[in-house]
Amino acid sequence: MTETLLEVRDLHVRFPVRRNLLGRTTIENHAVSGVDLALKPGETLALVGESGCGKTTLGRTIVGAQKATSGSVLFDGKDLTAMSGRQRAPYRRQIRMVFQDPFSSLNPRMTLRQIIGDPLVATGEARGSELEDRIAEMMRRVGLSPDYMDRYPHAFSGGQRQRVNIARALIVGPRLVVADEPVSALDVSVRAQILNLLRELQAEYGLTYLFISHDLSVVENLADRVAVMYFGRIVELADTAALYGNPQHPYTEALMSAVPIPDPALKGRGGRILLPDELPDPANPPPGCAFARRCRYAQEGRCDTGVIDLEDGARCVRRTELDLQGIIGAAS
Amino acid sequence: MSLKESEGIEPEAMTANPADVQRTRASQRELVWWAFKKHRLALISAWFLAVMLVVIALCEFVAPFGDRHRDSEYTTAQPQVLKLWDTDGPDGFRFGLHVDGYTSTQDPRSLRITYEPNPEDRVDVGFFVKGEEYELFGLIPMDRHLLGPKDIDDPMYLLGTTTDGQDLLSQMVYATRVSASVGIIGVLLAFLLGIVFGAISGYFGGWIDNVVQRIIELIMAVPSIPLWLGLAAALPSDMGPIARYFIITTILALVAWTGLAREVRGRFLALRSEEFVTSALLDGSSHARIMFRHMLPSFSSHIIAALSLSIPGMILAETALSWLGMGLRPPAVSWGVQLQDASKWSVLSGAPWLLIPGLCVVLVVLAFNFVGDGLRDAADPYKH
Amino acid sequence: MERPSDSKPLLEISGLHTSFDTYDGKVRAVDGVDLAVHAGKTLCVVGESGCGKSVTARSILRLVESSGQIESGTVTWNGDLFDGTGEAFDVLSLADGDERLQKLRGGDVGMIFQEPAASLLPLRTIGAQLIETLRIHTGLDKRAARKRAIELLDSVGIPDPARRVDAYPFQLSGGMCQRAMIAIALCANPSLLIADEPTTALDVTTQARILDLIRSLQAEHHMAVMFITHDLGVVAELADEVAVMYLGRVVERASVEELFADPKHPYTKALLASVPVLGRDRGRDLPTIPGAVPSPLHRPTGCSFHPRCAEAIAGKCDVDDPPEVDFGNGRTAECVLYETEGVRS
Repeated sequence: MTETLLEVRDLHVRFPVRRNLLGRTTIENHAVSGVDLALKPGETLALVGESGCGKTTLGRTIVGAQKATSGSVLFDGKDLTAMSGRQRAPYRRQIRMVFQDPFSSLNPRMTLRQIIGDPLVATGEARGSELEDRIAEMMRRVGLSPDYMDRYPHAFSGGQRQRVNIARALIVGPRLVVADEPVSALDVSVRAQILNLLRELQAEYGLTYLFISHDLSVVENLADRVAVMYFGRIVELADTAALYGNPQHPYTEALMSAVPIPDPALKGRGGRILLPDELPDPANPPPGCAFARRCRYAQEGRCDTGVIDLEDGARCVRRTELDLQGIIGAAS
Repeated sequence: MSLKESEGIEPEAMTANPADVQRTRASQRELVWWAFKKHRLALISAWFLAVMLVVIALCEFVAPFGDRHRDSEYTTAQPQVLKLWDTDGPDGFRFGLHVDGYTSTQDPRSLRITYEPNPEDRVDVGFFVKGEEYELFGLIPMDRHLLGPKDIDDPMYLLGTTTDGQDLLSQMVYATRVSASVGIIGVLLAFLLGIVFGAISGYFGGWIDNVVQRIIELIMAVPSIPLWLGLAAALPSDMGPIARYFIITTILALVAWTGLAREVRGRFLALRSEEFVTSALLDGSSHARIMFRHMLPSFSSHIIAALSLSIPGMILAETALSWLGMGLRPPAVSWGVQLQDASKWSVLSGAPWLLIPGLCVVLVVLAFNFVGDGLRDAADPYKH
Repeated sequence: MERPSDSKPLLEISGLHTSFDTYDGKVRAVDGVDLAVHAGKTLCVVGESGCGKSVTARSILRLVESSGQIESGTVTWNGDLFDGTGEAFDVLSLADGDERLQKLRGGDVGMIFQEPAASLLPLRTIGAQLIETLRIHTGLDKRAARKRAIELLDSVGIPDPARRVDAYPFQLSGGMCQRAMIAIALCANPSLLIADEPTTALDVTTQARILDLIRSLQAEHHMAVMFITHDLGVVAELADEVAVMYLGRVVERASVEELFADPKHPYTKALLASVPVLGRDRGRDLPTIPGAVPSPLHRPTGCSFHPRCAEAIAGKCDVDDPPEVDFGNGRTAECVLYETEGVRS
């Protein structure tokens, strides 16, 4: 029985949109609505979804950059959400984040040495020559020459800046890394380098990854398990092979069907699922399944009422009845 | 493998142009300096201000006479022209730096005495002449002056004299020290207040921001000129010149900090949502460290530019106050105090050189403005 | 598949050079580009950042930013010749006020951009913008134009068009805005649609619908499409012909089948191998292209791809410009490796 490194229990995150004169919130956006997750040490769990599904908010809440409205995040069995800032401080080194945008996530006025070393300097963990050695070591590990230490971010390409981001995240020796779309802003030819790097570092340091992305191909390459999110909820959770070969939720099926495949022989293959544009209002979640209004399999009376739970990895009342199409050419 | 593949490819390895290589290695400061240098006017102004700073430091040396020097023999005398040789002397042609002495004539009806240059009366002038004693930087006793009459009792007034018989040039040199320093110190004070309040307001937001902004708006709503006048008038008139100097500077600063506070607040608000700030928070940095180590340097160039652009306002304010008699007063001397002399048309019409301190104000204000413009344009040379 | 490469293209770009004056010096964004779009067919221009694909598209209609200038080249428009309304002409040689240029922009050639919300005026309703374009190019009166606008919004799949015609861009989602832009681009029945990464900023499900829309409109109006993208999947779906660009030049041209089955240029080969593909790359290390795309300011000597090329020949690839090799039937590759195979053009 492997222990659980990170556990999320019934997490809700809501953002106030409008307040009345007394400061009471009248309208809220439901970004994350009742998410349960468990991460095993050493695994890579991907959070997949489109814009507005809540994956970034969930990632930021786990890392501690966002406050949860209710529910809990447990790390090594300890409830982080119940802790004060001071109590939480030691856990900040254990859970680190790699940011999406290599341009705005590095302070343009600081050298690489200062950026990568800052987590150690801020808490006084290292100084002087020990600090420099650790920075140099980390830079080498991510594929940057330590000669670059005193240069500024603007001298580097997007891929190299992402390496700096990764170095900064790993220099304090974390166990869990939340990577928020780490390759989405990079040139296509550079993504493979970073993905391979992440894989290597995971093996070398024994890291656990929570990998957030909207790109299904990238997720398939890196993840062991995948959680598909829609409208603040996890609608499907399965091992990668199972998810891609044999999806259990109509949204997963639609998502995979929408991805264009670089093989012209498949052009005009038909059967592509086109979803109507009706997105639900985040301030006003509909009862039942949030996807029902766009789902080709939805049934009135069953899919649009009550609360639908995640069972057997899929949040769909019809999961046992439907035979959904995975990606073409994949082994199930 | 991936660990190796990025190593061999230097950003510059593929460059055809070595000049670009330098640019990729440069720090922000160097980039700003290079951009600033391209601004011709700003560069000239910067040199001008540098010279002014040297003059301020070496005030007593540069001025031909001491600040209390008064020559009752020659009041409101015309400026003398510096000449290198003359042919009117008793011995024919003679080479040597000199000015023509004065002869006085009295208008029979107005009884006004005017002084005109007398080519036959020669006053020898030299560099590094012996003059009044003083202490350089308040420490080193010296008596040499950069330029002055070889005989200490002779009149050498290159810009003429005031109605009290003071050498306008010397007075102007001392006034430069006072006026410029009021401007600079006042602005630094204002900036200290502005940055601290602006940073706190913009970084924390919420009710803190609300309170600080309302206070700022309250201060800004009061018209500044009456506010200065009121505060200055409230000072006891027997206050010593030095104390008065500091109080005036502080009053000006207390009114000026609000504009900068709002600007700083705006930038902090915008930067707050940048990912590198979130990253620093997650690293465990304290709020103060994030504000002053991570965020403030991002717009330090803008702040320096704003600094430079605020100094003229301060100088003009002090000049105006002193000219009105509300600011500094004699024996303290600033450009504003000097201009008091030029207040009456009846005096001015006969002695236009009394306005020269005004020219000083214009030049220095322009210089600071050009430098500030240059800095502001140079502040963001790279747009990512 | 029939390849009309010997028939006259609808639009032909020849020897295009566009450069920008930047703070750091002159950037040759487009450095000698030849492209052809045939009537009713889709040309996909593929490349990464800095390859000059967007600048090329903008140069066609002379929409380059003021800091840039088109230095040389011709853009031959044969559309007027095809529909019998006039002669062929070079767009770049027209005077600024020439009415043929006006007719081309938004009329015979429609263009859509990457950020739909940024391309629509935020303070005017989409109906107003649509009607304005309609009236310029079709001369309809206000009432007729409004009616046509509603029809157009319906044809691009905007639900409840009679109400949405009075909506402001901020009231619409990204996908809706993009459809509105397509409606504006198509309102004068253009023979060519230029699409500059129109789906890059959209979710994948929205992208699927927009691509589907473009395909059906193309079939319906027999429209040519020049589609710019960095996504090889989109290329496979949409393209008839493909042009691969790298650092301001076209490094390979092929039909879409040929490109994926038998890529010639090392960059194309490496790109196809390194991009993760659904179903192919599960859990395995991907082959990579070393280094990164150089900035157009730091252009490598000789072949601009040589520092990253696994097959580069020292002494040749870093010194001489690579030859453009013509394999026949419109198939080209700019690489010294094929010097002996095809004809040097």
